[in-house]
Amino acid sequence: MDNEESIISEVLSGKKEQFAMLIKEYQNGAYHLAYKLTGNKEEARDITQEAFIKAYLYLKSYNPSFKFQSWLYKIVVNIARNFNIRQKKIAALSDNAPAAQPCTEEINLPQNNIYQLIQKLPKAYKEIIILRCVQDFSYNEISEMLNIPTAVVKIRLFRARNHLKEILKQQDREQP
Amino acid sequence: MKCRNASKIQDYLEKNLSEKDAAFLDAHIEMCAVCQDELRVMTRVFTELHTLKDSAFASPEHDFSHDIMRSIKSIQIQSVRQLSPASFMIALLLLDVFCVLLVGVENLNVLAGNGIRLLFYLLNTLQTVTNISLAVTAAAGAAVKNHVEKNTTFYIVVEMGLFVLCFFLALIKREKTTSLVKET
Repeated sequence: MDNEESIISEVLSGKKEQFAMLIKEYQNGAYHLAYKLTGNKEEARDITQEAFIKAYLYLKSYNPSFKFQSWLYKIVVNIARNFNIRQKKIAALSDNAPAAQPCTEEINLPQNNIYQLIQKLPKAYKEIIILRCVQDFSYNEISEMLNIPTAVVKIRLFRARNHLKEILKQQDREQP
Repeated sequence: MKCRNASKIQDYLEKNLSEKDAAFLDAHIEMCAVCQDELRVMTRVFTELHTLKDSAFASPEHDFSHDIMRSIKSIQIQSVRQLSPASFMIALLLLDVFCVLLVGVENLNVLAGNGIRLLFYLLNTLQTVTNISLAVTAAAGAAVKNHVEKNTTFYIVVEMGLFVLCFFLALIKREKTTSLVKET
């Protein structure tokens, strides 16, 4: 987006309506990222909306030397993390609640075996794999988003792929 | 069995190795069964991950911008309504000053017997600090000053009571607004 900086300046100067342009530009990307992280359409929608609202509220703290997209996606990743924690707490607290059923939307998820395997990875690995291998972000961008050094990004990615490799091997052994 | 070169396979597949290192690994893989196996499985991981880039993930069914902008606007309305206790008190103080000046100009003694005196008391008590009230009312004119001095005890009691009440009202209002924002 070429005029991103000027739009942000206008929003900060009080022209709130301009924020709609940023939403239209990045809503699909943010939604897809949330969807890939959670695997649930409803959650992805809630996370996307919450991310834009937070982005608006904290727009003053946005550093223009970074991409707005990276900053927004960082918010999405953080909300997705907290969202999962919240969901688990709610599930733990409500003993009488029915067991979580797969949403009908999940039928629309890519049926790739690898995607199902990614969902089984530890959270830190899942984020890295999705950001790097699915969203195609650079190491530096992921480093900014997750607030971790680039070296840590590389190590986690290495381990995440190894993790996937072991799961695939095990799967091959179980299903010859 | 392990091979220390097997850890370079990921960099090799990502083309992060120098030409020299890549050529070395190429030659090594031909001779090492461990690295051949690692390359085979890791190639599969890379290939399968690559397919996800092109996978048709469902797109949002509708434009979020309207919902989000509506939420943003409601938050702003909330924030306008959301007065901190301090600003709430300052607003009341200004109202009080206005009242005192108004009543002072119109001659308090005349107004006092006409029921407006009650209004004067009520508005005048809606302020933060009693001392400020006394200073302000004193500055408003000698008639008002005399009146306030005669009724100082009354002022102090009522003002302090209303101050506490207003403070808690402001706090409750703030909590409600915060929870609304969180829900949003």
